[in-house]
Amino acid sequence: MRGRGEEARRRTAAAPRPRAVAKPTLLLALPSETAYLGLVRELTKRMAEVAGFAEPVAERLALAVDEATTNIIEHAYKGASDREIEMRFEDRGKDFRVELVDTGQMVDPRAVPRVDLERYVSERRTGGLGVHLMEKIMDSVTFRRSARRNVCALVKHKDGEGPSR
Amino acid sequence: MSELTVESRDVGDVVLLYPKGFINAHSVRLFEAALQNAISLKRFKIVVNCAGLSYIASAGLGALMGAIEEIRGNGGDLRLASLNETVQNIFEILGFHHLYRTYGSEAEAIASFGPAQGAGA
Repeated sequence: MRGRGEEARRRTAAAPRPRAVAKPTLLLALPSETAYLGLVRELTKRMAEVAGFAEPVAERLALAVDEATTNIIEHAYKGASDREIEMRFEDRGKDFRVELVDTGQMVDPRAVPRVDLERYVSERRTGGLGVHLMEKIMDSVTFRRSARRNVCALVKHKDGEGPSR
Repeated sequence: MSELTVESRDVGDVVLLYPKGFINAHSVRLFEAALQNAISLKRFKIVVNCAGLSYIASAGLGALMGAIEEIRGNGGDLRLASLNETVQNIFEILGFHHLYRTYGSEAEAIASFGPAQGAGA
């Protein structure tokens, strides 16, 4: 029969695992200014680390949220810096979820052209990379329109911490 | 704007750019300006030393895309050196490592352009 000490040691020796218990939601409202993107990135990275993701994965999650925020500023708000973006960070135990809400113009992400790098070079097109990155990094990226608000939800499963490509 | 600084220096006919900090939709203009400055001076052999670059978002990748055709069209190239794990990973996610030559060190990237053309030659 194993004692508590041995069990504790085994727990300690095991690789750190993402937290499995849901935590309270963090809500944030920030101005639609690109000057806040650095803050968005830092905050997302820290929240992902608190949720138990290793730093490299947390970095990528922060990039995905940076891209989603940039899309809102540039497309939904068309560069207007006097609007508001609501962010909701949720550690749901099995999932890490970030929701971004804006009241700007509806943007249909399906209208964003798929990324074709060769064409990007030849046609000097640079759009669409952000959505492509978001989809590559997250397990789920959804967009919906609700009560004149755009809601972009980014979800990463904690047990899906593989290469995260 | 302390999020990003971009210093540059010349080594022979190669222009070295040193972005320090992170490139996102806010700071990208500074990076674009550095690239455009090299192009406007007709310096088409460019090495971006990424040792001080902690992070790059699609805006920065777009800046690379926006400049590369003109650079290559003038017989030059834009090559990258010393990418950290995060930046390397972003490049791989997008397949950028197939479009841009990357090197472990600045010296390797400079050497990849071959011997410098003599001054005035």
